[in-house]
Amino acid sequence: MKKIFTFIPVIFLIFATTVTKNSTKQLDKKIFDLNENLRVLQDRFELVMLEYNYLTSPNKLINYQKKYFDNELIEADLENLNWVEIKNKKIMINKILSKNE
Amino acid sequence: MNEIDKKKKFLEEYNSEFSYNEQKSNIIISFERIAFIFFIFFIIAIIFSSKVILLSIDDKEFKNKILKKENFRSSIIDKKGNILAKTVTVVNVGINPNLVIDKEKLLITLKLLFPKKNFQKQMYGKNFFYVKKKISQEKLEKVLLLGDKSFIHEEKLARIYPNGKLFSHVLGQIDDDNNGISGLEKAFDYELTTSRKPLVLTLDTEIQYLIREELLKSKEIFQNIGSAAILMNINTGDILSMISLPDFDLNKRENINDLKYINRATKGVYEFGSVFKTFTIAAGINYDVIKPETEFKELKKKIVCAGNAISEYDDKIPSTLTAEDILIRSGNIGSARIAEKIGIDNYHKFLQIIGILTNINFDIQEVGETQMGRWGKCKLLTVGFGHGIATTLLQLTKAYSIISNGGYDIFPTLIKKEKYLKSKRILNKEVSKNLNPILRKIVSTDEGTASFANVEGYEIGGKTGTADIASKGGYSKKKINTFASVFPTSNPKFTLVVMLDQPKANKEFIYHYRDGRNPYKGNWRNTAGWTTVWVTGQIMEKIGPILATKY
Repeated sequence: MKKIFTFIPVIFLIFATTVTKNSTKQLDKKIFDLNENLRVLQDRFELVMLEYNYLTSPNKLINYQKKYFDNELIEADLENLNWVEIKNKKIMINKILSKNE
Repeated sequence: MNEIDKKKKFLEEYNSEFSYNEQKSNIIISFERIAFIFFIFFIIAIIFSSKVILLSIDDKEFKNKILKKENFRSSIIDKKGNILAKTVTVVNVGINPNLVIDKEKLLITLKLLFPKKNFQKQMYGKNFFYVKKKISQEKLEKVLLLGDKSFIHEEKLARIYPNGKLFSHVLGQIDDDNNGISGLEKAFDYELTTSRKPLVLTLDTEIQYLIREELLKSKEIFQNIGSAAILMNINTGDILSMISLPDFDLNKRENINDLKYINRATKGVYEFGSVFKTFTIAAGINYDVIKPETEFKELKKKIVCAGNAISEYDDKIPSTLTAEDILIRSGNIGSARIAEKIGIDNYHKFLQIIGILTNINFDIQEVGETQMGRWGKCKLLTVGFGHGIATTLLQLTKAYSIISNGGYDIFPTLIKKEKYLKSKRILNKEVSKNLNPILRKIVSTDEGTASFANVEGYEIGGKTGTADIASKGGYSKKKINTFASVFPTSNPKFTLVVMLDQPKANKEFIYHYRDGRNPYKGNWRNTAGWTTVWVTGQIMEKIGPILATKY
């Protein structure tokens, strides 16, 4: 009787370990696949970013401005612009630049 | 006794002298020697064997490193995430003519695929030649579809710099074996080839571009052979822009050996002249030797020290001046007098504290060292107004930042940090409190030398420096014109230092004053106030709005 009480938990533990190992193996495989997909997507994203950075580099943007918006873009006067801040439910408007020092 | 008897007797005597014991003793000594030598060889063999085993264990890691290095190099990005350098895999396609079955047919096919190229010579004269390096995916597929066994395609790494020349001196170059050979590529070679994380810099691409454009324009106007500029956060030491001209296109992978391509921002060592007067006044205030209102009476127009004359640049300068006036009017004699009052020990210590006389620990290895002779009475006087001492633009920027940020130590850096530790105060707080308003007056008042930089709204303060370039046995007429500025002076956030190398006065250029005066043409003065300050004003007009709204 004593032997049976020892034998059953051992068998149960072996079985549980096998099931757990099998399921973690499946999970490992899924994680590996996801990581691989992520790596590929990351590579693709970086290449797209590289292209985006190249096309929107300051040099290109200045060229686009000259080519397509020669006289249409105007420089904003910072003295006419304000910061809007909300502090303690109150709206605060501050000048970005002040003429008087 | 006859002759035969004599010989016999000799042989008998000889035989009787033989001793077996002596021979045995010799054999024992030889055996010990052999054993000793064998022992030595045994120890050496053990040492070498263990070394071989160790090397074979290490070799695996080394091989892994090499493999990693061959296949990988991290990107470098600016503080906003824009890619400044990225490694991509490219394919090169070549042909081994020995494996070609029908050369004429292949030549016709190649002509269809690459109409601009002619492979006739290579096909009949070489064992291998490249058809196309960095081939596009579309072309590669067409080549592979031909199914010719003579085509050999190999994957290679290529480093792409989307901004071309913009960051050339900072980023540096790599060689064909993926080793960094200059700039950040060299200094962070290990990190870039072992970590997948991109190297994040403190630089801002937009600001870098705008400053570079203005420096390029200055070359057109003042015909300078080179220029440099550094924009730095005064409290953290983060460098937002670092430019040295002339620069080079990183994508062309040229061999840069010409001295004209020296990094003028970090490596070039220059005598900057009057910008050092700020240090003289600051040292005087720091050691409580002077106050801004301390008056210096009857200042001579010319003094002689060890046979060398020290004179004022402008003869109209009054003979009685306060310390503040000396800095605003850039008085040489007054600055020399203040330096004299400070003394060699205190002045030397002060220059060490602000980083002029200590070697700077920077992120790239191309860094120059301050040069000056031995301290002496005359050396103290000349250093007091910025002559007889040569340093780098980077050290000058650091020193101005410390003087204006409340006296806190900073470490200029190109690498963005997660956290910033609280800096240690190394100067008396009175230094910044007293000096920042004086620097502002140099830009905002008529007596000052930098009114062209008085861009409204940004409270720019700074000091000009016009220095003759040293030549054999004296000074030449060539100039180094510098303007070191801080802004806004009421609460400094940035230091901008601009230097023009050998500019020339442009008599045809029309200067537009910022205070509404009539434009001026026909300038003959080749000073910082008429060259570098004007360029700084133009730079501030462009970058000011970005700094005011985004920082």
